[in-house]
Formats: sequence, C-alpha cells, structure tokens
Amino acid sequence: MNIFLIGMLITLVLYVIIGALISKKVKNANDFFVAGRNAPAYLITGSLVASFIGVGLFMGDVGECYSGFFAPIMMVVGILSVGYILGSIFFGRYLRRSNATTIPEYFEKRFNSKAMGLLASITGIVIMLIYSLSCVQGIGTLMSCVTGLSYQWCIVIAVVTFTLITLFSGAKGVLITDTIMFAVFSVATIVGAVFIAKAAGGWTDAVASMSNYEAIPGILAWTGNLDYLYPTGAENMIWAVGYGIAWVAVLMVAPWQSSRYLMAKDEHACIRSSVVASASVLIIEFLMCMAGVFVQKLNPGMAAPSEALIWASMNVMPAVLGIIVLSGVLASGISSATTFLSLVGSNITNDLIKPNENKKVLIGRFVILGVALIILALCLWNPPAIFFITYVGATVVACSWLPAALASVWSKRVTKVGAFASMLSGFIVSAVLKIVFAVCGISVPIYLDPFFIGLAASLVALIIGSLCTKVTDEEKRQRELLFIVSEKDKDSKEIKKTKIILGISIPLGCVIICALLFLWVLPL
Amino acid sequence: MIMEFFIAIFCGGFFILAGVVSLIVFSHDFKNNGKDKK
Repeated sequence: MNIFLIGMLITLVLYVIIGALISKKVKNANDFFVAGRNAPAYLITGSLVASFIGVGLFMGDVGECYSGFFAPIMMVVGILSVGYILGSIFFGRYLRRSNATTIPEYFEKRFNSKAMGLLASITGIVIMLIYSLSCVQGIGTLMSCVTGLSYQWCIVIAVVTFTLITLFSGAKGVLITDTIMFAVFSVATIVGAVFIAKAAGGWTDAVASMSNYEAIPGILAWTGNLDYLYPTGAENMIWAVGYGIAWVAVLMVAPWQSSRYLMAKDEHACIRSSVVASASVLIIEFLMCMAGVFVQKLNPGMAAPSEALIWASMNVMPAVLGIIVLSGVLASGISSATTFLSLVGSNITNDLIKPNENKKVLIGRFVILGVALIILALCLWNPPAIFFITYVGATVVACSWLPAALASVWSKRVTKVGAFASMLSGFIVSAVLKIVFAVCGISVPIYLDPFFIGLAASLVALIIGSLCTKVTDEEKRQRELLFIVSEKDKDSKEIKKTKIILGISIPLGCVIICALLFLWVLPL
Repeated sequence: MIMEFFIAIFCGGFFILAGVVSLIVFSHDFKNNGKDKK
C-alpha cells in the first residue's frame, strides 16, 4: 500500500466522519434540503467554488496548459469568473427571496405552472446526472493513477464516500464539507504551484525560459500552441471568448451553482459570497495553469498531459506535500459529487415525488441512495473521460435556463408559455446538436457551438411564446413578490457592508491585473 | 507581449467592471436605506 493511497483513504474517512457528525444537526427537511436556509457567506462561497472546481480543473485544465494552451484558458477564466457576481445580482438574490426549496419549485411558483417546474426538474436532473458521471470518472482516474488500485475499486470507494456524506448530513453537511474541501484544495493549489515553480528554477526564471521554449512554441504566448486546437491565435482567442461566455451562463444559473443561494441566510450573504468566489476561481485557475506550464519544463513529453499535476505531486514535492496536494485534488472531485448527488436527490424528492413534510428526509435519503447506485453502475460501465464530457453537460443547461431565469426576474412581459418554450427549445436544440456533433465528429467555429445555437433558439422561443400569450394576474403578482425585500435585508449596516464588499472588487481587480503582469507577462 | 498585456488587463478589468455594475444595481435597489423598488 503506497503512502498516497493511505493519505487519500485517511482524507476520505475524515470527510465521512465530519458528515456523520453534522448529521446530528439535521432536524428537519429544511435542514436536509436547504441547510436550514441559514448559511453565512463563507459557507456559500466554499460551496460555490467547490461545486464548480473539480478534478476537471486539476487534471483537464492543467493538462491543457501543459500542452501549451495557457493564454486561451486564462482568457476563458477571466471571463467566466465574473459569472458569480453577475449571477448573484441579477438572479441569485431573487431566487433567495422566493423562499423556494429547489430551483424547479421557483420556476413553478413564478410562472404558476406545474409544467414549468416539471421541465426545469427533468432538464436539471438529466444534466446533473451526466455531469456527476464525468466528475466521478475523474475521481476514479485520479485515484487509480495515484494509488495503483484498479479504476473500478477507486470508483466504488469514491461513490461510497460521497454517498455517505450526502446521505448522513444532506445539504447542511454538503455546505460544510464543501467549505472544508475548498480550503484544502486552495492550500493544495498554493503549495503545489510554489513547489513546482521552485523545482522549475524559480517563478520568474521559469516563465522567462518557457517564453523561448522550442518544443512547444507559444506555450505562454497569447496565441497558445498553434498545433493544439486552432491554427491561428485569433481563432484560439475567439474560442476562448466563446467558451468564457458559455461558462458565465453556467456560473450564473446552473442549478449546482445558483441553488447555493437558496441556502444563504440572507441576500447579502449571496452577494458577498459571489465576489469572493469569483476571485478564488480566478486565482486557483491561474496558479494551476502556471503549474501545468512549469511541469512541461520539468517533464516534457508526458503521454498523458492530464496527469501533469499528479506526476509533479508524486515526483517533485516532498511526500507530505504531495499527499496534501493530491488530497486537495481529490477533495475538489468529492465536493462536486456531493453537491450533484444532494441536488438530484432534492429535486427528485421535492419536485417529482412531493411526499408529506414528515417523510421528506427519509424519502430524500432513499432517493439519494438510489441515485448513487445508478451513478455507480454507469461509472463502472463507462470508460473514463475527463474534459469534454463536462462541457457537454454544463453548457446545455446554461443555455436552456439562462433566458427564462433572467426574464423571470427582469421581464414584465414574459409568460409561462414563453418560458416553457424557451427552456424546452434551448435544451433540445443544444443537447441534440452536442450529440450529433460528437457522434459525427463535426468541428465548427465556436460561434456555431451548440451552446450559442441553443441560446438563440431559447431566446427566439421566449420572445415568440411571450408575444403570443398574455401575462396572468398570478404571474404578475409572483414577479412583484420577488421585489419585496425582507425587513432583515433592509438593515442599513448590512447594506453598507455589502456595498463595501462589492466595492472591494475594484482593488481586487487591480491586484489580479498586477499578479498577471508580474507573474506572467513581464517575465516573458 | 502587447496581447498578453491586454489579456492581463482584460481579466482584472472585466472583474472590476462586473463589480462596479453590480454595485450600481445593488445601490439603486437599496437606495434610501433599503426602501426597495418595484
């Protein structure tokens, strides 16, 4: 049994124990499904970031940067990270005000339409299941690569771990374990990047030497490696902007992101958490992407670029630090999986089964167990795939939900017919095109990506559907309810604090600019 | 070098822009110490 396997197993057992301890605080359905609707900003921040960042970043994105795609990935991250801030201001805080237990329930209430709730439920569940499959496959690949255990056994260990955490403690436990895992992989990121840079000859010297790297010309240039995806820098940048926009939509409205706001203690917690989450994602991505480039210098020609960070953790760092970093990567995967499992369980229980209040927790636990078994069966049956599968899932739900979600708050003219047609057409068009393009191997420019075609279809359906029907009195009343601020949220001290935190985004943005200039651009 | 410089400015600048827009929208909603608009 190698030391990394022991380290990972200890970490997993610790998370399960924490989940079991938190389960004692779960008293009712409100605690189990929305964490008592009392979570402070730091727990929302932890869960937002931990749900988004998974093994895909530490293996997929690091591998892309190892292969020479640093600048386009940074462009994607620079755009997508603001999705949290925009999402909380334009959608999340209104979601919080609705007091819904799930987002499908929000849509059902807002449009006074069971069909709308059902559609949101089904689309959300399907996408989260697909996304959780790739997430679990990523964890299995990581554990198998590090520990030498078979892929199947790693999948079993991972699924048992995150199922126990979710089963015991529900949303309350997921929020807390997510935040702990966020802290663990943040430390892992900083430690990992610093050590890898040191091994590569020091940060600035390593950056300078990689600017003239002959094996992969343009590894740190704005063009990226021209042999990697597109043959010109302009095309790579267009790709980056397109994907960045698609992922802004994911961070704004995707159920595993925006549902975190339902658990916030007030809307100030929603907004404050979003600023910190945006900055955290940007910093973690930057450090890890740079680490990928440095590993290219240390060990060029790796057959599997997605294993660049794993190699560095096992070969460059002292064993203890390597264990910390790999446990952090594992934590990122487990934390995403707990969120997906908890949400799918919540959506099936609250939106499809709709049991009595006193049976909700019990049925919710049975549903979570059933979903976990399905995930386990599908993961054991499917081969591992890290990077592109996650994109297939996430952007489909984003383009189908974005217009209806934003219009539900900001449009007086949107009707349930328009919203339903928008969500359905966006989902069908983008999902079908994704599958067709993948099966037939069709490659299109980024502006013809299924996300954008699906988004256009969704918008057109929203406009036509809403123009052809009239807003009912109940829909109008439900929208007006979204603009009623609770007395608690009107506290002038809290308002002032939230304004200060939003204002901090200005110096924080300046720090980000300086960091990128001093740690990337100027040493080139 | 110029393009890399632009990307660095863009990443931080976009973050600042989102923060400022959000601050304006939030301040507008909560002007007069929390009297919400409809």
